[in-house]
Amino acid sequence: MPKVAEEKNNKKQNERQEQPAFEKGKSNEILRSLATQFNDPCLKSSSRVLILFSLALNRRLGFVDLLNLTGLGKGSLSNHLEKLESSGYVITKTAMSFSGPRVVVEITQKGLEAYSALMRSLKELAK
Amino acid sequence: MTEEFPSAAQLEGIARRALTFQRYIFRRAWGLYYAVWAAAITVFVFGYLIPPALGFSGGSLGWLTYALLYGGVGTAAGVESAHIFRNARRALQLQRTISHGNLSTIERKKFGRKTWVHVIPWIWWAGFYVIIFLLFTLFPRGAFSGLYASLFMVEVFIYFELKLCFPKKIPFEGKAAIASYGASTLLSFVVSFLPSAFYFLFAAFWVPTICVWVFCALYALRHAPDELTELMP
Repeated sequence: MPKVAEEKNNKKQNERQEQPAFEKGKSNEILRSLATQFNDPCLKSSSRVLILFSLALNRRLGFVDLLNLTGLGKGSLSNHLEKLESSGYVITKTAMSFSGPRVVVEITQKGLEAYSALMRSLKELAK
Repeated sequence: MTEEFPSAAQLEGIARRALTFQRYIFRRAWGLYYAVWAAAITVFVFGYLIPPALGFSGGSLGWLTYALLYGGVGTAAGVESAHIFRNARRALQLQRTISHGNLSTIERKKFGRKTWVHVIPWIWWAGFYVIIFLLFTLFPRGAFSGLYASLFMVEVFIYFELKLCFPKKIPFEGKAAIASYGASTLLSFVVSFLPSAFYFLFAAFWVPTICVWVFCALYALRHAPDELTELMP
């Protein structure tokens, strides 16, 4: 086999290996439908979707936990939370703890519904 | 991070990050679980000494103290356990969802089980209480042997839940907690066949488990942030 063709073949194989399983088939179509379904600029952010995912798993998390989860700065995280809160996906509260008052974020029913829709899409993508 | 709706690959990455973070949350929660159960075991084993020490032996005040003590620690332990187990199931659901796309056959078997399989632990618990009730009602003589034999079911249950929370590897403190609990249960089971003069050994056997579980609680809380290193950029 000529060297160029072989390299091309190897490159193709590598690309196929690196490709995540979800990129198969009708994934783009599903994602387009999901984006339309939400039609909400609030969820057009990986950070906010990540916050939503983690809150759906735990129902409530502290602000510090979310800092650890996202790796964002305090200001940036506050901005993301404000956007999520104004869209009704989460609510922010101040709770008392042994170490003093702390900010906790809770997922709302709307947030759980959005998470369920994302889960359904993930299931579809994984098929 | 982007300001566009996440792509399929990004969604998968987000789910994986959330699950990695979940290990930190679980480790911390299990730390609290060991602490609460260490307190509960202490009360179950030595609680009978507390009301007399407070001068409440006998009478309704004595019973109230017992009820508050046992009921209080039992409720706290139950609430903490239910909290962990609920979260574990949610995480498993997400794990299964993202795993189906690119799992090996072994992983598919591990995460691809039907949902009803996870009802089994609750049936298990119900069975546990029925067995205890029947033992003390129908066979009071062998009831304690039966009780300690039934505690092995709890051991298996804890292992099952730890496996759910940490599918890749159970942390060190989890293994230590299971081992100490198993040893105390086994020794108590053996002693339950001996004459009642040896009954003081029951309490002695549970002291190491209480100490190990307190250690496990501190170890888990201290080392939970280790799980966050994978999330570092």
